[in-house]
Amino acid sequence: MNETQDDMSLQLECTLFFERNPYALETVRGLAKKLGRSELALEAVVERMSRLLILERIGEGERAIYTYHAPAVRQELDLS
Amino acid sequence: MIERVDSGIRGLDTIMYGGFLRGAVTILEGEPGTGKTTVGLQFLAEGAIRSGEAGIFITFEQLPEQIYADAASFGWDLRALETRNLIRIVSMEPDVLFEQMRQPGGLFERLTNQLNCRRIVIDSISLFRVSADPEQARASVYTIRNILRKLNLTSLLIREYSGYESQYAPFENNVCDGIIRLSLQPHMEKYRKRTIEVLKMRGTRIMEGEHHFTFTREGIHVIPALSMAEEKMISATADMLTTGIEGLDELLGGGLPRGSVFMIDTNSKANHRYLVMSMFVERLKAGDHTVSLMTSSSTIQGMTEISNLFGVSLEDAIRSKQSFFIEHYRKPVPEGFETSILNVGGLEGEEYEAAFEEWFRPIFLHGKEKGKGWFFYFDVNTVVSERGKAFVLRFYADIAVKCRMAGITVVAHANFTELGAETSSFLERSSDGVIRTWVDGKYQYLQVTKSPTGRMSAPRIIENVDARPFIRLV
Amino acid sequence: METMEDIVREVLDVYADSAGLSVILFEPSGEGYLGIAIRDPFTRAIFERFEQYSPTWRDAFAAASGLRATTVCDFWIPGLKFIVSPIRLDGQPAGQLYAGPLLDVGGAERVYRQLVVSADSPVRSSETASAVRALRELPQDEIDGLRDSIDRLARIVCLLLDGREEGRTESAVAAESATTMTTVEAVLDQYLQMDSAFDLSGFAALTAPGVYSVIRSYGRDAHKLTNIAFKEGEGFLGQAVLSSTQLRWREVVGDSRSAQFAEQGLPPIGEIVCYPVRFGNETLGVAFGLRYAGRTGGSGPSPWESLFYPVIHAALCASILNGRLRKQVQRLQAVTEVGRFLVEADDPQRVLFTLVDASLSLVWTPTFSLLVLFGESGGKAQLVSRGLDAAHAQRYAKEVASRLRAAEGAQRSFREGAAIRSTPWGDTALECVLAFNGVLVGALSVAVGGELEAGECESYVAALTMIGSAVIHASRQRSEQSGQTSEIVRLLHRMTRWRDETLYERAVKAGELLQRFLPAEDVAPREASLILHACMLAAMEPEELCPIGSHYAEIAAMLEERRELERAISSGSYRTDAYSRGAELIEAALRMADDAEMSVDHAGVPVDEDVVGREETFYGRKLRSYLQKSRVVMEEFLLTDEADPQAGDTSERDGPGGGSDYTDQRGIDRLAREAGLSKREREVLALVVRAYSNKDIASTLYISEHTVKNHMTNIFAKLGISDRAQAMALVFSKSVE
Repeated sequence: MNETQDDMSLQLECTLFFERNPYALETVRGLAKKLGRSELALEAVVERMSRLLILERIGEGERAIYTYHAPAVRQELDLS
Repeated sequence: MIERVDSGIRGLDTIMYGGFLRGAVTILEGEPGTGKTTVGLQFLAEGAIRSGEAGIFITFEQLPEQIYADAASFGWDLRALETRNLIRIVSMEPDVLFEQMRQPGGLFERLTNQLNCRRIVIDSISLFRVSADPEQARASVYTIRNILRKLNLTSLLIREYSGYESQYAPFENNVCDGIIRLSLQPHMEKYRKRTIEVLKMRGTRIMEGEHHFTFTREGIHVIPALSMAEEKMISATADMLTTGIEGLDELLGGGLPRGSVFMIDTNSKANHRYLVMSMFVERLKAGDHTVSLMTSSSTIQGMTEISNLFGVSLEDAIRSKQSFFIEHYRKPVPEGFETSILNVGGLEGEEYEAAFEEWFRPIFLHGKEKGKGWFFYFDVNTVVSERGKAFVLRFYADIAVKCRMAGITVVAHANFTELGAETSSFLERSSDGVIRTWVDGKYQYLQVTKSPTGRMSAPRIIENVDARPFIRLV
Repeated sequence: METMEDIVREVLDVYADSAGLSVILFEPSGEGYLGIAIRDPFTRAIFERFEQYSPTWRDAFAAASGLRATTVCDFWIPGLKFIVSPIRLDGQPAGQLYAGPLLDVGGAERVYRQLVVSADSPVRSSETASAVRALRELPQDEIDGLRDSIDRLARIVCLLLDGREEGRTESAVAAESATTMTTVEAVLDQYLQMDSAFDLSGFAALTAPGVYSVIRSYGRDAHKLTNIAFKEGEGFLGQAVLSSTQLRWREVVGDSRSAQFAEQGLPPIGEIVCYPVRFGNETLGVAFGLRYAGRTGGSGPSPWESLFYPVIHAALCASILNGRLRKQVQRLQAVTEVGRFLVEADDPQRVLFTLVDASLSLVWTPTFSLLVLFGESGGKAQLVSRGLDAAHAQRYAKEVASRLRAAEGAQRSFREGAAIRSTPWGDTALECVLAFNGVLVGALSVAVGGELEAGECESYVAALTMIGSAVIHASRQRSEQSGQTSEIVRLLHRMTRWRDETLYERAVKAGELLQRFLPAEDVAPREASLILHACMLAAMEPEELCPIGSHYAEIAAMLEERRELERAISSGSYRTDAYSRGAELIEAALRMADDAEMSVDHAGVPVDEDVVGREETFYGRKLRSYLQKSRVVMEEFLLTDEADPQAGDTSERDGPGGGSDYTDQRGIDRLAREAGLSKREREVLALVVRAYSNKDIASTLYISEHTVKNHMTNIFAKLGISDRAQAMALVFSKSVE
């Protein structure tokens, strides 16, 4: 089956982690430790999440740090 | 002189004679469960709330979500503080922190600049030792200290402490500016007591020894040990008003702070007359102005007589417009005193408040500017019986705020038991200090149960003596 | 590990919390239930005596078992409604989902009367009758909205229960041959590997809408085919997936359709056999065998070819579908987890962020997600988006909003669920309405790759938005209520400032009485706070009540009703059942508060029945009898000298002037002597018996609460008891001994 579908619940888990801890600065290794998941599976997930701009990646490779990036918010949008 | 940083922990600043030194790096150690994280959080949260100083909490092992939850139980809404950019709870790996701290323009610098961060807590530096060899660990902590100092961040580095480690003085002790140790010790067989001890603090005096602390709903509250507190030199400064009573000034840390609001809570059997009159005549002697709210049974005549006992002429004070009175009742007024008395008897609702307002306004506005001290004494139970409880709550809160702002010292008297739990707890909250006196058996006791320094005293016995001020604490 | 039943129960719980209804999932037999979440006193009353009522339930259950769709049914009494949803798996009944109770407009009165009057109602009891008074009547469109959401809940439950017994969707043959094989790979390894008749064989599975990938291959060149993908209609394999039967092509050297193999560096293909794997109308994949051109010998059928349709096909279907279900369940579990987080999160902004970000995890090809949240009034909205630039996001948000608003204007009710829409720039998106009880709050739109993906992902996104709707609604209600509370406090303040304070104190006293009574009566929190607020404001004139949010209308109506009631009582025209519970209670509480003897501390409600009897209302009587009962309980412990004239030997007792004002001194003295209590412990016990709290004891005796607890521990230990109630009882029994 499709890889991305496999990763969905892990992605959701990861999303929730960052919603709960919006100022976490985690490497894949740190994240793996905190979520109790394998680094390999997480790599694909955080990669996908940073493509979606849910996460911001700082640095490259193994030492790359991921942190939550808030969505765009527009208050008081006039609908008329 | 180096600026002091309010630790945010009631009582701890007293022990350190004014707080941390700005930019100091302090180690906070203790065994698991002694409250290190709470002290760290309180330092940041209170710093943000009271001093508007932004702070960062860096956690290696605990999840931030746990920290949000823990803090919420002490009433600190860290998430709200985060939205206001006053707090960040950051989780990361120790090596990542170390790397990012050293990197010019790295994440650490970015984060501190973004917030204009003044305070930082790292939980915990013990992990540096687990993950590296001793030599490297030493170097890491040394580097971290240098960076924190360079950025002028007042810092707490949390360290796990165990008896084993204490055999070797940990190397961090030499590189850091201070060490605070928390412990949990057996106390009177069944209980355990929590203590805090400042082992070292560069650049400031400290009250040595272990001091008790407790967890309250508002966080940690340190109670500076009594015996040691008394060694502290107390000088009656212009801002500490003496009560004139031997022993009481010491309990209050020097006297009544000018502009503070104190409540004297007595039960029905306890005599508070000498207590209040002593404070009152001390104000007259010092040249301060006084305003007294008369009870149904007190008269100016009576007060004059007692003042005479204390060797002060209240009559002169009234004539020289030094003393004023507020009266609810119709009583004979001595010739020439009419203009010194505000009679509010028979006034209704709005009128009543307006009369107060008008009369007090010049004092509120100008009392401070003209360098005159003002002292306001009133009896809460009298106001309750005249205006009702609902009125008193509002009135007291209002008076407390205005007087504090105008630097007017207020001493109010009430019988908490008579007023009921709800009303009295409101009054207690609105006051800076509470002095309680009661009769139990053959003795009358006095205890400072709340004070601006956060200290609660042990109960003392009031002894009647023949000389002024006719009572003393033993 | 959580079983599927646990998850079902959790989902029911979450739903029951969000809708404020009780939800019960009965077993297919109707004898017991798979899950139950009780949120209302009526259902609680019935379930507390399940034994007694089980025939009643069975009747209802039997009556509803013919249902094929989610229906609002009346049970037992006309007007008392439950929503019933049949749960069916593979066409077989698998349970019934009940949600309720509901009342339509005017239903409360009708049902209440039935419960009080008609002797033959199977659920008639005083508990059920008073419980009905607590239910809110709902207009038809709200009931319809609830029915739709129960329907959705039922579908989610179906999905979960279906995943409970793995393999049940498959035929018996598959079940037999695949009992030990849970994954597709295991099935393929078992059957396709034993082949020598082909040079290369393998299986390509559907991995994305219209896209297949080779997930397993066997033979010398197997590695060359690993993970190659193709689309429907592309090459031999692409054509085969469109077929419903086996296909065999011979002598195809040079055929352009074999280019997909040549590209991977395989030798020219001579013969190719394809077996599409289909379930229902959907192609799940294709098994294939290749023979290279110029091959000699071994050209007969492979052993697996003859087995394919009788055995292998079913095993493959089963394992693929099982795999899918497992993932669905995982995802649904994850959605439940998100729901739990949303319910806990008290930051409204965080809720919106999570909805947007989580929706991106629930679809296959996310590119953007956008959430529009309508303001509580006016034409403003909040917009949260990811993956769209500001201009696109705003334009699209406006379009979504105007579409929904138009539908709202046309009085069409909102189906909670997802619709497939095209964005102005041609993408496909799943659009879910955020609505609660038919009130439109906003919408969530998340991009999907196409209709197939939309169909696959719809239920998850819908489940997410359903939870989101409830959470947003709840947080708005909270903020509205706290806003109202501060507004009410402001009004009260004004009253004490400008008007008679005795009115205020009377309202406070009445409020205190009600505050004790309402929880005992099991009044729902919302109604209770409404009654209390109205009571506090009872002294104000209607025109003084400046608008205080939407609560105002209800408070004003309740106060108006109370005024009418007051008039009716004084003119003697009071009728039972003509006034709401709130109005009656406020009236009664204010009357009792008026009485000079009233004291909250001792519940000293006047007992002069002659005076009060003829003015008593239905709830007035209830309130009085409750307060009297609680006083009797108190008095039993506060034995007075007069109350105990037969106790004999009064000389043993401390007189009133004997230094003690504790009237139950006798019992305490005896206990203290027998158990060896210290003087201080005796003092503490005396206060315990007077129902003082630790805090009160501490302040009365000038000791710390901690010390009080210490004394209590010692007292309890010495008396051999474990709580205050026992202490009271012991003192009581000692004093009458």
